[in-house]
Amino acid sequence: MTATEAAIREFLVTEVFYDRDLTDLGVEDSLLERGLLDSLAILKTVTFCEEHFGIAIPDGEVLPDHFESVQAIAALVERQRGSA
Amino acid sequence: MTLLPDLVSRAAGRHAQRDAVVMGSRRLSYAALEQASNRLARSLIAHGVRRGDRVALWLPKSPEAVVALYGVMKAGAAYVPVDPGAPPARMAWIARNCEVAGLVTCADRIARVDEAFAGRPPMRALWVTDDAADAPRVAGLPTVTWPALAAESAERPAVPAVDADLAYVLYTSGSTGDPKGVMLSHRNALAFVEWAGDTFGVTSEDRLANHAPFHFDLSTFDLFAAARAGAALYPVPPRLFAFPAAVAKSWCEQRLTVWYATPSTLVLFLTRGGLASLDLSALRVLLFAGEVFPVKYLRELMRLAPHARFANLYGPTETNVCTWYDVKGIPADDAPLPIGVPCCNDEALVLDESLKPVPGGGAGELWVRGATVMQGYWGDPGRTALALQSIEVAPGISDRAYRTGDIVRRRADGDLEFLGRRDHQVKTRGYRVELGEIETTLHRHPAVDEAVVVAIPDEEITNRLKAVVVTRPGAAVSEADLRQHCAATLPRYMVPEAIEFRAALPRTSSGKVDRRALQELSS
Repeated sequence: MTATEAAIREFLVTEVFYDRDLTDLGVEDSLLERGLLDSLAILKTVTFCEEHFGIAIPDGEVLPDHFESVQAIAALVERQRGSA
Repeated sequence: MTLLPDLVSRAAGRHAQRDAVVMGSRRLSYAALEQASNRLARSLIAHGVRRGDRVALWLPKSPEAVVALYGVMKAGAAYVPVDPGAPPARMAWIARNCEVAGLVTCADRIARVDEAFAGRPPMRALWVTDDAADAPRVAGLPTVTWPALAAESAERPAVPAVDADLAYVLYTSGSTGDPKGVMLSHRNALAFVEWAGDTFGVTSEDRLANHAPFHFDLSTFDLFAAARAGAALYPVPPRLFAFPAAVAKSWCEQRLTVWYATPSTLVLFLTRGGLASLDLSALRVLLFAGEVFPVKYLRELMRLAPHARFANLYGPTETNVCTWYDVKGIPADDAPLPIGVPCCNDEALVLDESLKPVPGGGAGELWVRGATVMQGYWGDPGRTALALQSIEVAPGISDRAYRTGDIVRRRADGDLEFLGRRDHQVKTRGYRVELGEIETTLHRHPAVDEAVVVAIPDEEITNRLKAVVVTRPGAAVSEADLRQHCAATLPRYMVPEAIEFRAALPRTSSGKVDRRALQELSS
């Protein structure tokens, strides 16, 4: 797990899923299949990534494929870092 | 006399090959929906589900979920849709409270169902909407998988029923700490669906969006107005649900003609969904309900779709829609939209504390009588008696009316204006939340001494929830601990976004917690 993935995973577990016992959440596991994300959870995650990693995520990038898993969100963060 | 599932049976006769449900790449015709729900009804009956029973649905939105709710009603039972995002403990509480005879779920939830009921499930059997041949089983419970339904006849079973029978039970937040089940009959639902279908001219050519989850009463318009007209229903696939840009784009690309959603949803389409750059030419009717629509966003929406008809629908779950306002334009002074005039064969009464009419445009509490008013709260005659009371409407006319808790006034032009609540019920993202239910939940944590939840007004989602907590001396508990505690029994939207710890709560001179002071400190 990369440092970016670890930070995103930690945020999701404590601040989005409210379940620190969610120890089995792997970086490739589908977040969307779990049915736990709503639009507010996505907005919180976007805000967290923007503040924590000092990047901007345009609304047009906030799409299911980019939030499929911890790994997908980390890839989005890295792409936005590259384009900054 | 019509029952809700008759709408599908009739559509299957007139529009057999038309789309009933379109979801992503999946399509279900009216003929297919009719046959699949008939087979499920027969299976339910074969496993002992009887007229008057309840059957819970706990599964993500899918064509099978639509089949399930019609199948349950065709068996003469009422469907009990549980928030698919609700924790298993809440699902189990509702299933026990409503004494369900069956549960429809999907394979990847079976283990959670088994755990939630701890070996003592209240239902007679479980139905699983996918091919779950190798899925785990719930101990001691027959499990019927979807492919096994093929063995049942596709003829609709004959079940005696009248439209006064229960069609569904919707659980909503309860101020004392437990959810309450609002009982609605077929007639209740049809009074709304017939009015809405006629008023907005829904035909078999329409394509209706379905954004609201099935446990939210906005979905009754989508489901049943579509079936009544033989129109197509487009439920939002769960994968897209949290992404306003993806949902708005798919609705425009699929050229959906009728949208019904909460203002929170529509505001997110505008602010985060790129609606301004999409083709809205197919949009014919846009309905919204559940909370106050911020006027500046509504104006923007009407500018983007000048050809569409807009309407503000009002009503708590207990009455479904009981008043409406036909939006012809935005008031020049940017005043909030009225909730309008009664509809659906309902009457709106503005009463004072002694249940007498408030004269001449004064503020009073809104009571509603008529065709959409609920049958009561499941298994709770006490709360039912408080909510439904006999009111003298006119000399010689007394009728059962529902006390909404909403403070309104009637303007000179006859339109009702919503002014606020008389209690601690708030809206967040269109969901109705009793702050007391969250407070009771926080109090159940051993480290919590006092807890108050306040609603902080928010332009995009109406309110954000914040808890202010005083812990017991010596108790160590973190914000994350308390949120985890809440999320174990409450739906996600009821978990406070922020939790603040204080040494003491502000008090009024009479010693009560000063909610207003807390609200001001937080805003």
